[in-house]
Amino acid sequence: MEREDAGHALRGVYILLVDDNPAHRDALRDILRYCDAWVREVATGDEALSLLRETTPSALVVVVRFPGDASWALVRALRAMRPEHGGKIPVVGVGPAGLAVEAHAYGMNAYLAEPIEALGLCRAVRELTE
Amino acid sequence: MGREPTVPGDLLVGIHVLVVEDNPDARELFKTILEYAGALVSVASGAEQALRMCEQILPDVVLTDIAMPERDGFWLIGELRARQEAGARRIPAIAVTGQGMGSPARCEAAGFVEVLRKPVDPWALCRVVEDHARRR
Repeated sequence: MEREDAGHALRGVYILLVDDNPAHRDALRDILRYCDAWVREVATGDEALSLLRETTPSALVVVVRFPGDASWALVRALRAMRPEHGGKIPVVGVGPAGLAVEAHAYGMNAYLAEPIEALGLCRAVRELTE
Repeated sequence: MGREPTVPGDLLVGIHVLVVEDNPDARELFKTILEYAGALVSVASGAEQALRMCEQILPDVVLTDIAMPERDGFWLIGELRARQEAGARRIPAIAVTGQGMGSPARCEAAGFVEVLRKPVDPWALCRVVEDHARRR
């Protein structure tokens, strides 16, 4: 994805953003919206699972605070769902460095270690939703 | 009618700028200008907040006021440079200063890539941001 494509890179992509830190969540939401995604934000895994019963997003962006936190449980619950209920929705994790292997083992499709780059996040989501 | 825009609306498309400014009016004004030119803009009301933001999301360019309460722009550039020396990616930082604040020589010595004096010409600001973001 070139810089020039940023404004429409995620047009038509519906992203469920899960982050319990309001300021950080706002920053990630602004990035995804800048790339023209449709973003629904929630603070907890329970809220995310509740929304997943209503609609199917194109991808989840899940913020990890520390190994084994609630984001892990959310991804595990998602992967336990049947495909028609969203069990195979791509998940991009964002969090501390050094957790990529564990994140993939829990079922995340991509993991971005902080500090991330704005367009790197959009690129990762786009690659998984094309 | 028929007048060519001084700065095209897509000049800064795909460029992420972090604006650090304690004055809310100035902060909003810089944000509006940069967004008009197509940038993705994050804002911080102080240097410590800006540094925390950079630890999670790296902008392409930092635009910071020099004179701010508590930590000033020199503190911020010092912290950014220290992280760069420790292996973090370099972020070009542009200083915006009021009259009589932070001489250009001191700003450049501290590591700022450019110094803009207030009042800032909006289009000059956009071009400077674009120049340093593309060079990165």
